[in-house]
Amino acid sequence: MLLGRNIRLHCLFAGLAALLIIAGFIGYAFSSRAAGGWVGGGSVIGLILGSIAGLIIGFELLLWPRKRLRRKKLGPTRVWLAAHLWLGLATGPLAFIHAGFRFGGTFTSCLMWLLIFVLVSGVYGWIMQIVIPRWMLGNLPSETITAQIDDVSVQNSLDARRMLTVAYGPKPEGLTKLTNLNENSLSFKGIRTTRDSESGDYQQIVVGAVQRRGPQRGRSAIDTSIEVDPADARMIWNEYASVIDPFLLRKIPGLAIPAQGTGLAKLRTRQTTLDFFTLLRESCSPSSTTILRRLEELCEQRRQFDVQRKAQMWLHAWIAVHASASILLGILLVTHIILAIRYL
Amino acid sequence: MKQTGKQLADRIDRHYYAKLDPYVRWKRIAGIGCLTAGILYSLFAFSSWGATQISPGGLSHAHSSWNHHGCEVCHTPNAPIRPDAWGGRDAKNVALSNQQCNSNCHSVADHFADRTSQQTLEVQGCVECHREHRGKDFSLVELASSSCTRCHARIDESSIASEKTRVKLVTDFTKRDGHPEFRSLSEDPGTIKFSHIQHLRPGQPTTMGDRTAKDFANLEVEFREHYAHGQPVDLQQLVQLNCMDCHERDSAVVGYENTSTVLQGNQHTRQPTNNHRLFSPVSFQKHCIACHRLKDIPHGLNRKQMAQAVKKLVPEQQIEYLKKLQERSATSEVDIPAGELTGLDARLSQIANDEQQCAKCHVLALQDNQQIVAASRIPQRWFKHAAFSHGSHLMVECKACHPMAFETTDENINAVVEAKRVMIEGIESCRACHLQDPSERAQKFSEGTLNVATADCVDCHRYHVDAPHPVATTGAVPQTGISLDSVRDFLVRGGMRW
Repeated sequence: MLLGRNIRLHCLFAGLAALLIIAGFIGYAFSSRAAGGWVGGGSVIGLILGSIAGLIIGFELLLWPRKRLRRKKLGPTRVWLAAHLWLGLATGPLAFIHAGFRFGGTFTSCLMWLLIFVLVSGVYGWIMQIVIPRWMLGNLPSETITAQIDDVSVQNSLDARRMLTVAYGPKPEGLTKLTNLNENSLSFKGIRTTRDSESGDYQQIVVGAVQRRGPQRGRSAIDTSIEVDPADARMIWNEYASVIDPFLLRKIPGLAIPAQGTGLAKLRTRQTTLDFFTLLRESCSPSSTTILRRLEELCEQRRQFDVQRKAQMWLHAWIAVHASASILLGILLVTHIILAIRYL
Repeated sequence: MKQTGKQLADRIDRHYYAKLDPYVRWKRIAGIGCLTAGILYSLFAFSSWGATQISPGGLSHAHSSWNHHGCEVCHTPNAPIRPDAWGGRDAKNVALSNQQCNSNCHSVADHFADRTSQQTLEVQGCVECHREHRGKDFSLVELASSSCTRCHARIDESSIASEKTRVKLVTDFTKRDGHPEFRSLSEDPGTIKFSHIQHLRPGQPTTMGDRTAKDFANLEVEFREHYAHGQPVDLQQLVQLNCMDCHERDSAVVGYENTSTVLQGNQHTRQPTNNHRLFSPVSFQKHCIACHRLKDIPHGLNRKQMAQAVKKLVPEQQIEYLKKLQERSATSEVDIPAGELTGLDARLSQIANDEQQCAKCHVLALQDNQQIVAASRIPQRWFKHAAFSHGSHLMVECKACHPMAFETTDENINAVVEAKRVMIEGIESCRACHLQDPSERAQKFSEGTLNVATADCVDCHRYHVDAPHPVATTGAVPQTGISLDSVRDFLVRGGMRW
C-alpha cells in the first residue's frame, strides 16, 4: 500500500479517477446548460454518473470476497488496493455531480453522508498505513506480535525474577509480595517454564541487549556469567517487587497485582525511569549495574509494548469502522437504486 | 543449565493466530450491526410510513397533508415524473403524471390550446413549472422566468397562431428587446373629457390664475372637511385635490403605508403585503358631486330608464311635468301614451347636449337612431394580460408611473385631448425597479435604492388562462342600468326641474 513502491500503478488509477470526474463534470455542465438549470440524478447524464459511481462502489465492496478468495489468484493485491483507493475516491465527486450538487431528502442525505464517511475513513486508514508502520519501524525496536504482548510481558517478568533469584538468591521475607504467575492461574498458554525458573537451578542467566548488527537492530540473547554483591539483594528485590514487577505486569487481564499504586509513577515516562534507575544504581554496588541495566531494558520494552498497542489500535481499528460503514452503504445504495427507478 | 532455542521458542504460543483478534471481533460485530441497520432502514423506507425518508423534501403547504401517505398519491410507479428525468418528457409519462393532478383535484385547461402546437402541449407536465418537495413554505407558483421563456423565446416553434395574432418573442423582461411594449396601453378606450393636470392645480382652474378657481367657500359645507385633508378649513384657500380624493383603494392598506413595512413584506415573505390591488371606479356621486352639482337630472341614467322610472314612480309629477313640457313645446296632447315620449326625448337630448350638463364630461353617441351619452369605458384594470397590484407598489409615488398627470403648465388644458392620452408610462418605467439579475438588485439595494424587485414572468402573468386571475375584476366599468333608489332619492330631494 506504500505509495512510493507502486507509484506508476497509483498514477494509472489516479489518472483514471481524475478522467472520470472531469468527464462527468463537463457532461453534467453541458446537460444543465441545455436544460436551463441544474439537472438531477434522474437525467441522462445523472443516471450515467450515478451508475458509474454505483458500479465503482460495487467494485470496492469486492475487496472483501477477494480477500476470502485470495487462493484463487484474482490479481495482485497491490493492484486491487490501488484501484480500491483511487476509484473509491472518485465516487464522492461522481455521486455529488450525479445528485446535482444536492443532498436531497433524508434517505439520500444519509447515503451521501455515509459515502463521505466511508471515503474519509478510507483516506484516514490509507494515511495510517503509510505513517504508522514506518514510525513503528524506527521507534519501536522491541515490537512484538500484538496479540502476544501480554504473554511476552509475563515472560519478561519471569525472566527478571529468575535473573534476580540466580544473582541474589530468593526474594527476602518481609518485602512486597510478587504477583502470582503460576501456570494454572494464567489465562494464556505460552508460559511453561515458571517452576524451572523459580527453582534456581540455572547457573547462568540470559540478559537481553539491543545490538546493532548491520542494518538490523533488535534484541539478541547474550549468555553472561556475573558475580554480584549480596548486600544489594534486599534493596533490588524490594524495588523489583514494589515497582518494576507491577509495571511489567500491568494491564494484563487475569492478574491480581498486589503492589499497584504509587510505585508505577516512578516508571511512567522515560525520564522518570531513567531517574529511578540512576538513583538505584547509585545506591547499589557497581557489580549490580548489569542486572539493573537489564531491568531497565525490560521496563523500556514494556513501555514500547504499550505504545505499540496504541499504534496498533490507530492502525487497525479504522478497518472495523470503514468496512462496516461500507456494508451499510452498499445496502442503502441498492435500496436507493430500486426507489429511484420506481419514483424517479 | 542453559536454555535451548527450542525452550525459548516454546515460550511463545505458536497458535496465537487461531485466537480471534479483538479488531477482527469488533469488525464482525460492527459489520453485522450495520448490515442489520441497513436492512431495517431499507424496509422502513419502502413502507408508506417511510415516505418522508425517500422524499427529497416536504410537500408544499397545499399538498402537505400527503406527506405521510406514500409516494403513489402523486407518483405513478416506474413512470418518471421529473421533467429532466430520463423519459420525463415522454408524452405518455407526462399524461400519466398530469392525470394524477387533473383527475382528482385540479381541472386546468391547456395553455391557449388554440394557439399552441400539440407537440408543445403534450409535454407540458404540471411538474414542469410547479416544483414540489421544496418544503411547506415554498410557493408552487413562484417560478423562474425560464419556465416561460423555454417556449416564448422560440415562439415560432411552439405557437401555431398566425403571425398577426401571435404573441411577441419574450426572452428577458429587463432587456430592451426581451419583452414587447405593453399592448394594453396602446390606446385609452375612455370617453370622459377629463384633465388630470387641471384637477391637480390649486382650485382646479382651466388656466392658472383663472377666476373660476375654487376656494373652500365655493364648496358645500359637507365637503369642506374632506377636501381639507385633515387641515383646518380656510375659506379663502384654494381647494387642492390629490390622487386619493378620486382614486379609492379597493381594499384598506392599514399597516402597510410605511415604505419599510412594504419592502419587508415584499422581500422576506414574498407574499402580497395587503389586499389592495386596484383602485375602485371613480364615482360621480362620490368624487365629482362636490364641485359638479347637476341641476336637472340624476347622474347615470340612460334615456329609457329615466323615462320609465319617472313614469312608474311618480305619475302625478310626471303629469305635471308633461303639462309644462307641452306648454313649452306647444303640444296639444295631454295624455302621452307609453313609448311615444317624443317630447321627453327632445328635452332629454337637449339636456344631454348641454355643454354645462352631460356634454361637459361625456361624449354623445347614437344608439338605435337615438342620441345617447356614450359609456365612459374607463378601464378599471388596464393590463388585460397581466396582473398589476397597486398594493405591492405602495412604496412608489404615483408620479413615478403616471408623470403625465403631474405635468405643470400654465396653459389651457384641452380635456378632450388629454382624455385620449394613456396616463401610464410604458415598460421602461417598470424596468427602473424590476431587475432580473439578483446581483444587480443587491448592488442597487446596497447603493441605497430601496425600490428593487424581481422581474420574473409570474410577477405579472399567469400560465393558466382559465384560472381565476389574481386581480379578479372586470375590464371596463359596466354601464348598467340605474338604481331605482337613486331616482327616488333624487325626486324626493326635489331636484327635478324642467
